[in-house]
Amino acid sequence: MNHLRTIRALFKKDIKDTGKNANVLILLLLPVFFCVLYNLLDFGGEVLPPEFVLQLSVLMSLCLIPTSFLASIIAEEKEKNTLRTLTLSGVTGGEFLCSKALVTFLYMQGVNLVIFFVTGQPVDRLLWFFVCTTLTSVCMIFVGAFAGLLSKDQMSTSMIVVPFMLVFLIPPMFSGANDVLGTIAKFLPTAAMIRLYFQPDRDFALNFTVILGWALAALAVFLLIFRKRKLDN
Amino acid sequence: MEQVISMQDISLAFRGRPALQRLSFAVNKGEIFGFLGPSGAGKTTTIKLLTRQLRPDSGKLSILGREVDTLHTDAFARIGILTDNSGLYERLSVYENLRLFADLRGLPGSAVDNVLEHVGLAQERKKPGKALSRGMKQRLMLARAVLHQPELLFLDEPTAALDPATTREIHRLLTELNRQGTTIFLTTHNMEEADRLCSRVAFLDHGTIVECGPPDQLKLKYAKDELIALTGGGETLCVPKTAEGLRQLAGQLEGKNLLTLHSTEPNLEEIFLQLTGRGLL
Ligand SMILES: Nc1ncnc2c1ncn2[C@@H]1O[C@H](COP(=O)(O)OP(=O)(O)OP(=O)(O)O)[C@@H](O)[C@H]1O
Ligand SMILES: [Mg+2]
Repeated sequence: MNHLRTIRALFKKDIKDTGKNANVLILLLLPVFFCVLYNLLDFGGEVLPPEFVLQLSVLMSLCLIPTSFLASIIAEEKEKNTLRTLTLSGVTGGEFLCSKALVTFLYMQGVNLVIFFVTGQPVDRLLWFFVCTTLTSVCMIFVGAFAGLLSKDQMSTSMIVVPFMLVFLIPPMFSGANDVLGTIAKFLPTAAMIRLYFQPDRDFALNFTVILGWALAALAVFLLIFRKRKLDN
Repeated sequence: MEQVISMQDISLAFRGRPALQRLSFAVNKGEIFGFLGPSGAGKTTTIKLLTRQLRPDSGKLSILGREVDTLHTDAFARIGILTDNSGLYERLSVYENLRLFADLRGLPGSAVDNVLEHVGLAQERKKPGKALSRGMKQRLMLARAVLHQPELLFLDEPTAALDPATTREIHRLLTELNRQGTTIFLTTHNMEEADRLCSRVAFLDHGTIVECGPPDQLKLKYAKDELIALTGGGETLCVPKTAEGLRQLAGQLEGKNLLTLHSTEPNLEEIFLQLTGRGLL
């Protein structure tokens, strides 16, 4: 009955362990790498607008880290039997997932912070940037936890994660270039996040509702699966 | 006597194939209870049932005075478990692996150093889990199971991968824990281990207990009523363990010198063989 102590102990372990895990650290570097790359691109004097670079990189960060990173660190503990050892020491599934989600969230915001400064965003927009990305990440974190829950090893997480990644990533990236994608993007949390960040005054209610709706729906689906499947076996 | 483990009429089948059949036994507080049986007898399955990793098809089981089904997660603070499917964090050091469980249980870091001394891993404290030998891994997992001095300890073949010297060290640790009040349930293939450590043993064969009792009593019960004499000429004489037998022996020894005289006691391995017609390994 000491959730805080348990989560703190797990969190300490998760930070130390992920810090030594090259497989998942790569996932953190990817959005940063692309952000720097896009920033350096030069088409004969024409550079990509920083807003566009921010958009691409943050979308990547949000679609990649809470899903792949989280799912993979959950699945690894199943694969290596350490999760079972934890539950046999009285750790509950909720505590286990809480720590994992927290670690993932912090890493993701760290990456987002780097992107924010590399693309030269004004500092007075930082708080709003955090609000938008945090709200949107809730839904993505549930997707990752959901994938970690359903997979029995790290390999099989991508089977579940990749379709979600494509759905959340592609339409907002190309919404301007294609009508169908544009329509879809209206109702995706990732696209809504971009609109909410750059134009807080336009369609605020719609964008906010889309993000919140996805978060609640993801929570509901997740709880349903979690109750049914438990964490192990 | 307070019962720490009780199993009544437990049956379990995997896809129609029975693994345990109406298994019943109880372990009292303060005992070291040994579960002996050949591979596939159902030893690990029994531990999994008792630690809620599996559910029985029928029967009742309880530990620490509560039915296993209604056991709260808090109860795991009072239990230590070492099974063959225990995992460890390969990238974390020996110390970090244990520190996690000390933190989870609210113990200070000194508890980790203490247990590392006991299992002989103090030198290895900085090594990552993946760099450990099999015996070291086993000791690390044992250290984790006993870190919090549990009331009840489940050990699935605790010394299976260890050399004789480490095995002795581990036995000393277990005896010490037991003296301080830990009840131990262990499975093993190793007769000597069972003989040395256990206050009671149960023989498991094809999912049922075929015999149960203190090793000494079992040996007496299954002793053949024979006396065996060895003469200076290298001759072995065998007579019934009765007054008549002794007189017979006196006659046969006429003119020879007697080197040794003893009654035969079977070891646990032989008792098992006698009961089931097969060995323990
Ligand atoms: N998950 C499972 N699915 C199907 N059958 C299983 C499963 N676990 C165990 N069994 C079967 O149940 C029986 C008992 O297995 P168990 O692991 O309890 O044996 P054991 O006594 O621990 O053997 P060992 O000494 O080799 O560890 C075996 O016949 C085994 O094949
Ligand atoms: Mg076994």
